[in-house]
Amino acid sequence: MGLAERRRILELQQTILPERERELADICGRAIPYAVDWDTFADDAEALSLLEYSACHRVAMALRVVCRDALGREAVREGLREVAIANVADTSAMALTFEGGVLRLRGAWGQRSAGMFGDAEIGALLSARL
Amino acid sequence: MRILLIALLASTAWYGASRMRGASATRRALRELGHVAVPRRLADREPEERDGLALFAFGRVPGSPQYMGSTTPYAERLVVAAWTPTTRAEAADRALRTVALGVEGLTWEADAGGDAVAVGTGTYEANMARRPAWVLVRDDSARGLTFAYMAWRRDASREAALRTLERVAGSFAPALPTAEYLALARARGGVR
Repeated sequence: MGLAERRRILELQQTILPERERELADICGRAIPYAVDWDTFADDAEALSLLEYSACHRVAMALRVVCRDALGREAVREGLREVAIANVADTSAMALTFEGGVLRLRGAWGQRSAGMFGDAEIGALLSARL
Repeated sequence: MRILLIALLASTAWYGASRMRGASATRRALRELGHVAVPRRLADREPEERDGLALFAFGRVPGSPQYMGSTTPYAERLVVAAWTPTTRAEAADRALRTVALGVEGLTWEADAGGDAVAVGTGTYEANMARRPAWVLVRDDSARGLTFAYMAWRRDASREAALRTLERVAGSFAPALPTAEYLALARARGGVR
């Protein structure tokens, strides 16, 4: 892992993800942490640079729709306890799951728009399983 | 009574100017487009995404009750517009209309052309407020962006207003290329 990647991970850990977690708390009324598998991002600078915009932003947009009323907010507060993000090299290995209170996004984030999940897709999964 | 009124006006003017001077910037995400650093005093509005263009607007409502009324007054507004070559004119127009909403008698200084900043002046009018204002517009052709800014002249000199606009434009950090972001926005459909 190069210096640029390590700097970006530090920025994500110290500044960006805490901000994005506060955003989720504002949306649903409960702290929901992001758990990122950093090792999967190690040599993918493009994925690191897009993680915030492709993953966190879309999760927040999905939750804004799910949490549009008190019922949705309550369901999210009770059912969603973590958002786990991992990076895969190829779009064929992408997976979006929600089990045991963990929303898992395995995206090919470095593939830009082809490697991310739509907020409607994320929202539909949560709405169906919460 | 007159002394009280003068004191109120003076304190309001001091408050406005001090708000501008004490400005630190905070990082604001522009969905998948990237982010900019915007003065902390400016609040976000919900972005507007349309077919082929997007507008990210920020604003500051003056704190004094003397400006309140049926319309929400703005002492400062900022818009970052993203566009494709085909929507450039419409995006720039919408950015200008958004920041200059309520600015009457807008006149422009001589056009420098290209991506230089266009500087205009007019009078901002809303409720009981009538304030001379700067209106500035700057294009970033390479990135498909337009930055537009309005500030009351009481709160910001021409140079200060230009500095604010340039700092915001200079702070832009891209994530997806503008065209790719706008394609995502189009896929989302409608205003979100």
